[in-house]
Amino acid sequence: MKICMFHLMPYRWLPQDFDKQHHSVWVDIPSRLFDPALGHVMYNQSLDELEYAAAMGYDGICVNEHHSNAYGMMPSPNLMAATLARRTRDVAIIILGNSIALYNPPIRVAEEMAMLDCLSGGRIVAGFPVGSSADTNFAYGMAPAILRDRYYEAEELIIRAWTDPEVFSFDGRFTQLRYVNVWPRPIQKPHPPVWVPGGGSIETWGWTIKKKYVYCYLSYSGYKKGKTVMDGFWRTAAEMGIEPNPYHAGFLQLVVVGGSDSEVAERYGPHIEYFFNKMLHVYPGFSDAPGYRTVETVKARLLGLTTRPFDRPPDMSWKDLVDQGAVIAGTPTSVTEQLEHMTRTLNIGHVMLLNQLGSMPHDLAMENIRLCATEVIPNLRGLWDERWQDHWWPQPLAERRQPAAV
Amino acid sequence: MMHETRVSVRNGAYDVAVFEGGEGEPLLYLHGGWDQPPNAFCEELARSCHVVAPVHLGFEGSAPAADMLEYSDALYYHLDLLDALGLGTCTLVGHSLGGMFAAELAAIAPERVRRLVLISPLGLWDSARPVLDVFAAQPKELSAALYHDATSPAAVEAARTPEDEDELVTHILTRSKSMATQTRYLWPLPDRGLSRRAHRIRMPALVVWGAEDGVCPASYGDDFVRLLGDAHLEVVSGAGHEVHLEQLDQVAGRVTAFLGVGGAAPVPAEPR
Repeated sequence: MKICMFHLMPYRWLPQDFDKQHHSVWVDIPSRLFDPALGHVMYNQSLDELEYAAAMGYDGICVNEHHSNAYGMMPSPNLMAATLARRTRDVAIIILGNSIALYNPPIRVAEEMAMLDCLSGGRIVAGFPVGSSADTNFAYGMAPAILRDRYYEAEELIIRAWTDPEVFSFDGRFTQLRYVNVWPRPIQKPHPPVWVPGGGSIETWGWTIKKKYVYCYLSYSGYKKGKTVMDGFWRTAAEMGIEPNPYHAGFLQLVVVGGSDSEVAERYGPHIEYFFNKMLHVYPGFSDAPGYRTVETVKARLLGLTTRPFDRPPDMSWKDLVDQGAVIAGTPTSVTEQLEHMTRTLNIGHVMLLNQLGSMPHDLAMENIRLCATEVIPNLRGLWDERWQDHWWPQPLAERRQPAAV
Repeated sequence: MMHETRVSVRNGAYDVAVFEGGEGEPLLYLHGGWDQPPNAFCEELARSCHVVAPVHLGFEGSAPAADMLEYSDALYYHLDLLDALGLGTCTLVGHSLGGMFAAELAAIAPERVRRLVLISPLGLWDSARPVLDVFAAQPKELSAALYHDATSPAAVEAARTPEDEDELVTHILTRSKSMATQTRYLWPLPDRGLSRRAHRIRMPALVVWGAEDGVCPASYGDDFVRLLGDAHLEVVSGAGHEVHLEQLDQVAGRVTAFLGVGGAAPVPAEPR
């Protein structure tokens, strides 16, 4: 099993009455709530946390893309990946990802990811999300009705730009290029592994399987609710005659570890509640624009066959969150057991741990990472390896250069 | 009563639902996002005109709108639609999104439009008077923008949802399709450059607006009148965006008077 740390880089200083006083944490959050000096602290501490996870033996570190969002402050994940590439040595850098439909021309993504692959010595995972509705439709103005078609076309162009040895012309419905010639090229051949973060749209299941990409479900609702979606993915895989290799899937889970259940509740509880009750205060009108979901997915949701990532009741308590599986919390032994149960039930090979979340301060996040790395991850690492191979993990160069000392 | 027919547009490329009824002069009705035909307003017009009301591509009943990638695709589609319907010339009435299409059609093929009626049309944008973000609006907010009086018969009818579970699923999917399709033309702002083409619209035109339109403020009516060569504005009180449904008799009366049908003499357009 591969265990990675996922970071959202949240702005930890929203007022306590944020959800009462403001419309939404995403899209139209007032800029006056942002203090750039605190932004300086947040970015540097967040990167420290990811680098620490790498040093402590996590297999991968994950960055991601959000726009006009206070709980996810990486409009450009590639910038973060670039600095992480210089400051880490062996860890996989998982970019989850670039919302490829947004970039014009989409070869910008092919270029930047090729740069990152060269810079890191072949350690990157290329994540291609369709992107959330709030990010793509509302913050970036892309019409929902054409987003998915743009996405499919962009994927086709990027993969060809990485793999076709010749200069070629591309005559797409959205992008026309006389000369496609991505320079540099990625180290990994034929191209970096592609992971597709999904949000419960049913067509993404079949598409990722057809493309032989990893399907990742990134929600904050945890493994109990996430089971509906992962079951849908594996059911689709079975229907398509694909063996249930757990490495074909990734899953995001919020995890906090401490000396006892009561200590964990006391130290982490308020920060996690802050995340769910303040930071997930997303105006419902921004979470799902009409046409963002296909008619098939809307129908599947009405029939209870899939779910969406942002469904949440208001004012959840720590106990609710633990009971619902939104957070896996407890002693190292208990967390190990719960994570093993989760990965086996959902059949997951790539687990992404959210170890910092909400208002959790840097020191506590570092302690959480340390405990996960030393007392949880070692017990889980061998899972799956007797039977399954990971075909979706980066294949770096054997000999890699390190940055020279200054 | 209107009846449904099927029309093949662009040599079989698109199979389109069309509601048709009434005798007299041909009147093409282009609907908006929330008044898909058959609707009471078309029925009322069909008492004095031959109403032809196609369902837009992408709305329930007509072919998908997948080919409508660029706005010009939709404009050419409407030229093809006129041909397929056999409408050499006609009276053109459009509402909301359909009003935007109607204005565009009148601009690209003015010789085919004898008279134009725009009922709370979209198509213009002024940041100082933002059009409601209908795609982010929650159901209650949207209803209040569409209907001035939530207890009016039209508002009650629009808010009605089927009790049967299967019908409810169909109802939700139908609404979801119509909203999704509208995003092709109205996202992120409902402006595709109509103001640069509207000077070509010189035929007599009537612009109708609900005084309490919460989707697109009635002041946009003045902009349309200013851009068109021979138009006048009638603002109807006690009505939201769906003015023609909420104040059906009033709007139908003003439209038929403007067209000079149903016994009324044509109202001369204001000289400019």
